[in-house]
Parts: sequence; structure tokens; C-alpha cells
Amino acid sequence: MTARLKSAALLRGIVLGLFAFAIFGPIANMLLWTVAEVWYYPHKLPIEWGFSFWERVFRPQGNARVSLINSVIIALLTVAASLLVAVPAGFALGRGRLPWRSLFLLLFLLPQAFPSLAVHMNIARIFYGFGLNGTYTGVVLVHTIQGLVFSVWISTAAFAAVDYELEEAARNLGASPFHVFRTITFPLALPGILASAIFVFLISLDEFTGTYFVGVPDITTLPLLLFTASMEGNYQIASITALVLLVPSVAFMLAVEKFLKADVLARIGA
Amino acid sequence: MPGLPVELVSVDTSYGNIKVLKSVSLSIAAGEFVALLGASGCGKTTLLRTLAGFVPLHAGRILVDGVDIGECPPERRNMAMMFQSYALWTHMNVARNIGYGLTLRRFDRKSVTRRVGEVMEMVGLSGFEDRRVYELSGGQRQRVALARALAIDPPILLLDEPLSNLDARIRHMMRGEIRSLQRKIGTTTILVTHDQEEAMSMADRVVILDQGEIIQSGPPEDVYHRPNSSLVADFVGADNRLPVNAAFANGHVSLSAPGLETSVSLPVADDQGREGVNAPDPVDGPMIAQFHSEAAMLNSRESLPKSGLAARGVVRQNSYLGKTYRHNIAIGELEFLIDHRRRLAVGSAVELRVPAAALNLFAADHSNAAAIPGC
Repeated sequence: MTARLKSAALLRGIVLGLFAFAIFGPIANMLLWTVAEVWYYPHKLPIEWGFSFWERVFRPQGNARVSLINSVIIALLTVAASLLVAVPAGFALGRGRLPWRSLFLLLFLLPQAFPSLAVHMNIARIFYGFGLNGTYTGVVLVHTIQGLVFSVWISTAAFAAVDYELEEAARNLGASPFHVFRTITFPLALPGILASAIFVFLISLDEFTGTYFVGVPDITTLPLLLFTASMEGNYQIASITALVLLVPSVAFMLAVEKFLKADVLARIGA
Repeated sequence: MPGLPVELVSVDTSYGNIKVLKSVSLSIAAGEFVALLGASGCGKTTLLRTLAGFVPLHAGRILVDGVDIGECPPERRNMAMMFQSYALWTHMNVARNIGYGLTLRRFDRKSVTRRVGEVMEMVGLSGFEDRRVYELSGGQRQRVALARALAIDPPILLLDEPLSNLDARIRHMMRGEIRSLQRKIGTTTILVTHDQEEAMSMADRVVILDQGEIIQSGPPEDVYHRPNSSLVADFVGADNRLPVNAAFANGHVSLSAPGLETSVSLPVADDQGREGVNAPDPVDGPMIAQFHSEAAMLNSRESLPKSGLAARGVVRQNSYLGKTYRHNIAIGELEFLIDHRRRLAVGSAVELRVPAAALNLFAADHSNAAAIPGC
């Protein structure tokens, strides 16, 4: 009896351990690489520790800083561009009685359905004709196409969740349709819209193929730097870049979450 | 602002191909409190939403103080509506919910605060200004919804099942509160409800709707005691049905039925105020007599009403209702629900008497058609 219990506990421990390893293993390995100076095969841990690669990543002639700034600017612009489309589209799809509603929603999903390499190669060709290759506008557009599926779908759901009677109550008290949108519908859909903004920001920050085909060589972002470093077998630089990439993601999420809290709480209470 | 008169002239509305309101005409005086009563699906909420401008008018006119507002968008109608769901905005606190209509009317901040304070005191919510809506109880939310509607001092107030989400005790209390507030302010008020007790206790006039048509309209007492159809009688709770044979002559009706000892001759009520049997459509032959449970008497030792129906029956069952006992009395094949202040033993023989003034006679086929209550 106790033996069976013991073996059950052991089994559970092993399974949990494997899970933890699968999730945290790569991250721990990455963290180790950021502080490793020398580390090769038979050794389980780095042979020499240190921060000299950090200096190499951030030295002025290295392009980590430019790439980081590029990444953040492009991500912010992508969020702005996506919301510019997603708010009116989400309102129309979620509120209005638009015909072919599901067809429109599928349309935004289409770019995701094909291999992204193929999609981006062709986008690059088209953009070349417009002189968009190697420009911020080009890269932001490419990122926006990918972000739209999330921002449009999520904001459609957010707008659809606003009860019609809440809008009617405002109109009844004398508010014009636009005023109702500004003071009632939009604020009530805002938590969902901000959630979609987080998604778009993260997607843009992580985007590789689009930037590779449209931006390179004029515009480099952190994922491109990461790719180059990994290809060169320079794990230290790759790991440090990855860690740096975490900073804007976490910062943006914290900022939005702080802004979100009151409204989300309001929804739960209602 | 004192209330304004409202007049509906043959109003038609429909959802797609389904006609919801069929040529509804209703005129409501300034300051009047009217209750629209009906089972769900009868069109009473649609009527209210048509007034508010949320349902388009297919035909007919809506006049407010003589001006046709049938084509006006909801925001220009100046009617404050209280929704069944309350429709409070969770992203605003209580004060901003209530002040919304005032801010829209370009009141400066100080006047908004003052007016919000006034109405909050009126509905007994002082001190709750900064609360969030989701922190309030059902009764408090209901008061916020009422205060929001009252804040703009509307000439016309629309109430859509305002009390249906509250528990019984608060519901009864709010009936009186809304009624006295309405009296004080003088706003023309239209209440939609499916609860006949609520309609009768609050309104000056009860309007009963069935399948998109007004079937009776009048003061609560009239509707209760003199329903003009079997359907209305059902709706106001005249549940007991006795098939009879009727013969009308000289302002009297003689009734006979299998359960009755002898046939009786009873006076028929008329418009001049004579008391008697309510028979809006007198026809000789088979009819149905309907009456309220509390209108009949059992084993009455008190001086008997001058005239009425009498029958012998047996107590089948009894139940306690608080202020009275309700007895199931079997007379032959039929069963009746009769109230009595004392409990009568099951199986005991009783004498049932129904005064003439408590009887409502309707044509038999009509009554049968309406046997299934509702729309």
C-alpha cells in the first residue's frame, strides 16, 4: 500500500520534473548562455563566466541598440496601424448587421493560412514596385497584415459583447449615435481592444520573415540580429538579444495591464 | 417638468413579417400613470420601445403634446426609459451614470452635481455617488436606473418591468415608492408589466394587451371587477369557471347549471351603476361564469347577499396563503378554488355562494378558446 503510494508520488514527481524541464530548460539554458564566456561540449556548465559579450552587444558599433529602437518603434506603429483598422472593422463586424460577416472575418485570417515565407516573398515583390522595401512604412505594413487577424477578431468579439440596451439607454437620454460610441460602446469594448493591442505588439516584436524580406538590409530588428547571431553559432549574442527582446514586451504588457485593471474588474462585477 | 399628454393613433409595428402591434390607439393624459399589462409576447414591451423610438413605426402616429414624433430618433424624444435589465454602465460610477443625461444637456458641472444629489436623495441613495455599479445590490441598481431616468426631469417616463428583478419584499416597497414619486413629480408614466397586482396597485389606468391589440382599458377596479372578456378575466385572476345556461330578460339573467339546486334569476349590472352580474356580451344559451377566489363565500352565516349563485360541494384540499385559506371545492365534476378565513376539513360538505356582483358571464365558445392563458 505504502509502496504503491510511494511509487505514485515518484511517478508524479518525474512527470512534473519533465514538464518543468520542457518549459524552463530552454530558458535556463538561454540564461546560462548570456553569462557564459567559454562553454563547449562535454561540460554541463560554462567553463568561464562573465559579461564581456554584453559589452560586445551594446558597444556603439554593434547594431543591437539600433535594432532594439527599430523593433520598439515598428511595434508601436504596428499597434497604431492595426487599431486604426481593427476599431472601425470590429465595430462594424461586431455591432452592425453586416452581410457576409463571417466571410470578412475569414478574409483577415487568410494571410495566416498560407506559409508565411511564400506570403512575404510575394509581398516583398509587390512592395518593391512601390518602393516600400527597406522603409519603416513597408515593415510596419507587413507586420500589420499579420497583426490584423488578432486585432480584428478580438475587437469584433469585444464590440459584440457590449449589450445593445446599454447603447439604447444612452440614446434614450439624448446622446447622438456618435456620442454613444464615444462614451459608451468604445469604453466598454476598450479592455478587449487593449488585449488585442498586446497581441499585436508581441507579434510585431517577434516578427522575422516579413522584416527579412521587406526590411533587410536597411532596417534590422532584434529578431534579425538574433537570427544572424544564431546562424554564426554565436550563442552568447543570440541569448543576450533574446533577453533584451523581453524588456519591451514585459514593459508594454505591464503598462496595458495597469490601464486595464479597473475596467476588467468592472466587467467581472457586472 | 410637468407631464405631457401622449397619444397613439392606430400604431402598427412589425418585426419582419410578423405584426407585433395591430392598430393600437391609446390616449394618455398629462401626468397619468398607465400600466400596460399582458402575458409575454403580447406586444407590451414593443409598444414601449416604439414610443421610445427603438422600434420603427410602420403606420400610425405618436403625438406628444399634439406634436407627431413618430419619425424622431430616440435621442430627440425626451422620454426617459428605465430598462428591465437596468442597462447601467459599468465603466462609470453611480453619480456619472445618473448625471449622463444632464451632461448631455450641457449643464455645468456644479448643476450636474446638485441635480444628481437631488435625485439620489429622492430615491434614497445619498452617499453612494462614488460607488461602482457592480458594487451595488439589485435593489440599489434599480434605484440608480430610476434616478438616471428621473434626473433629466422627463415629461414622459417609460418603465419596462422595473421591479421584476427584485425580491418580493423590496418589490412591494418599490411599488409604493415609485407611485408616490410619480405623484410628486407629475410625470406622465407608462409602466409595462406582466404582474396584474403590480399594474393595479401602481397605475391610474390599466391597459390590457393581447396579440398586439388593446383588449381592455380602464381604472384598476373596473378591469378587476368588470372584465370585458374571458381573457381579461383570466388575466386579473378570475380563475373559477362554471358552465351555465343563461337566459336574459328585463335586466335580469336566469342561470341554471347541473351543480345548482334550482335555477336563479340575477340582476345584470348596467352602465347606470346598478349592481349585478357582469355580462358584457349577453347571449342566451351556454355561457361560462367566471369569478375570483376571494369573491365567493363558504358556509356563510352572515346575511346572504340579496342574490347570487348557490351550490353544494365537498372540500377536496386546502392550503394556507397567509391571510386566508384556499380550498379546492368539488361540485360534481367541477373544481373551484375558494378562499375562506378558517380552515375547513377535507371531505366536509360545504355550501358555496357567489354574489351576483362577483359573477362575470362570457359566451361559452369564447371562453373555451381562451382556456389556454397568454398570447
